[in-house]
Formats: sequence, structure tokens, C-alpha cells
Amino acid sequence: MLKYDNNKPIYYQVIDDIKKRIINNTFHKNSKFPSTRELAIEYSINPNTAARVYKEMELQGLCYTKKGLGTYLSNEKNLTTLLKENMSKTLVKDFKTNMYALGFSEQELLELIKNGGNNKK
Amino acid sequence: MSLLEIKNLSKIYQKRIALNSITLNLVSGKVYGLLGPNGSGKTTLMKIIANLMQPSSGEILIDGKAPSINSRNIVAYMPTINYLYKSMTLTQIGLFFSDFFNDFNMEDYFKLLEEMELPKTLKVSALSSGMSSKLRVATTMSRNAKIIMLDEPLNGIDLITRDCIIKTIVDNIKNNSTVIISSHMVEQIEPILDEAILINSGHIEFFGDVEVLREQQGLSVANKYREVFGS
Repeated sequence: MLKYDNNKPIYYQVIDDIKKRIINNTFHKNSKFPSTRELAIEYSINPNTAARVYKEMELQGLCYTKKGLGTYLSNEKNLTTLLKENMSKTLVKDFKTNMYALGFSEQELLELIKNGGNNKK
Repeated sequence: MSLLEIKNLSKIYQKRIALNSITLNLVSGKVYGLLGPNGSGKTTLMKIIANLMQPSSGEILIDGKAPSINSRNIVAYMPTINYLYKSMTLTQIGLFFSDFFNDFNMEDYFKLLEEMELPKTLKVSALSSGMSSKLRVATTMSRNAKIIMLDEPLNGIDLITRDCIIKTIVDNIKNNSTVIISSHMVEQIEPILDEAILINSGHIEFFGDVEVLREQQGLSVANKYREVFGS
């Protein structure tokens, strides 16, 4: 079960998790998404929140709804590559902002990453 | 349209004010969390909605009508106390409920027992407290009622059973029913809520959409609770 940060909108956190699962192909089956009810149960969230998750994802162009059939992964080419790029950009940006706030320089950051988080020489 | 309209509702026990002029409108298809410290009026409010208690003053309308014997047919209420007959088996409990309530679905009930790993041949007296909590949730959620009220469904229950009960609640929210859950376990319950009602000494201190609360104030329900009730 996903551990929520209750200070942030739940639908946001579920969307983030689904994006990761779209990237490693563990969410959709033949491009079909679980029903909103299944989504609610799987994530232990309110069914209205689950519906909102798909609505927001549709607005972001990640999926589309077929009337009476369900929700499907968008046909857009390179979708997973784009998702991967976008998510990694955000992660790196957040990481850099936080590390700069701790007083690290870009050079030190690179060293740190190479040494697996251990900056003792 | 509001399914439950409450206007200036008060309840006074001798000299103690349990509910102080409460006004609330609840719509169908939403899950409401009724949250507040002990003695804040949660159970009193639920009992009045369930027509088990009369208000001292004010108005309450369920689907447009005052609570009565008839409204009990569309309101399912799970009290905190264990009210099931100890000598009955779980199958007999199901038959007992379907005798009482037309909207009780025996198939749903057996399915829930199976999912919650409660053997239907067991007697109520043989159940642990966690199992009997699961049973009470199962009997309540097996009704196709317009209003479903669960009073403290997570009290005194271990983590795994809590997860199980939360999943069962989510799985059994019927499309157009209103669900009202009271709980002290604010952090556990808040992911399944649409709206939170914070109540203290018979007053509504906060009533609002939980995702809006998170989005606009960056506050979880638990943190809002601390803000309202903390000293």
C-alpha cells in the first residue's frame, strides 16, 4: 500500500505513482487501465479521488476514456520516454536545489554521486 | 441534492449540551469523516440520524423526510458496542439481518465474510475483538442503504485488520450512498474521505473538502485537527 503524505493532495501522489508504473510497464494491461473502482481499492482511496486521478491524467494527455469501455493509455509515441524525461528532470532539479541549500557545489555533487553518497576520500 | 439536511439541531442530556445548534447538508455519493475528541457529540449525532434518539430541538430531514421507523430502512448504522447475539453463528447473523432489513444482501454478506477470513460456521462468542469488528462492518456494508454510518470502525484494532477494514469500506461504497465514518484514527481514515467534519463540544469547527484543504492550505486532516483541537 502506498504511504501517503497527507499534507499533499492524495490524487497528486497517486498520479506520480502511476506514472512510474507506466514507465516500467506494471500498471496497464494491453494499454487498458484498471477501472476507477479497482484503482480505489488498490490504493485504498476514495472512489471520487480515483475518478479525479484519471480525469487529471486525461487532461495531461496520458490517457483517454472510451465511453462504456474504460480508460486507456494514450497512443502518443514515445510517451514513456517523455514521462521518464519529465520525471527525472523534476527529481534532479529537486535534488540539486536541496543540495545547493546544504552548501554543496556542482563539482562536489558529481563527486558525491560517483562515490555512492560517501564523500570521504 | 442534499440527502441529509440538518438545521439548528441540538441535543441536551439533563444539563449537558451534546449538540449545540448544528447545521449540516450532506449529499449522496460522498464519504464524510466525523472527527472529534471523546464526548464531542459524534455518536449522539449518528444516533439521531439513525432514529435511535430524539433531538431536543432543531430539524433533520433524511431524503426529505423526518427520521422515523421508515427512515431506518434507508439508514444503516453500526454502533460502537457489540450488539450481536453471542449464541448465533455468522450464517444465522446474516439471516437475522435479512429478516430485519429488506436491503440486506446475503450474497454480499457471504462474500465479505470470505474476504475477511471469517468462517460462517463460527459462533459470535468464538470471535476475537478484531474479528467481531470485521463482522460488524460486514453486516453494515452488506446493506444497500442510502446512508451508511460507521461509528469508530477502527477502534482497538491491529494494523493489518485496519487495512482490511479500510479496503472493505472502499470496496463497498455503493454509487449513490452517503457514508459517514467517525474515528479517532484520523491519519488512517483520511485517504478515503471526501469531506471532513470536525466537531468539538457539540459545535462544528470545520467542514470541508479534504483535497481542497491539502491543496489550498497544505494541511492534512490530521494537521487541521491538531490546529483546531490542540492547545
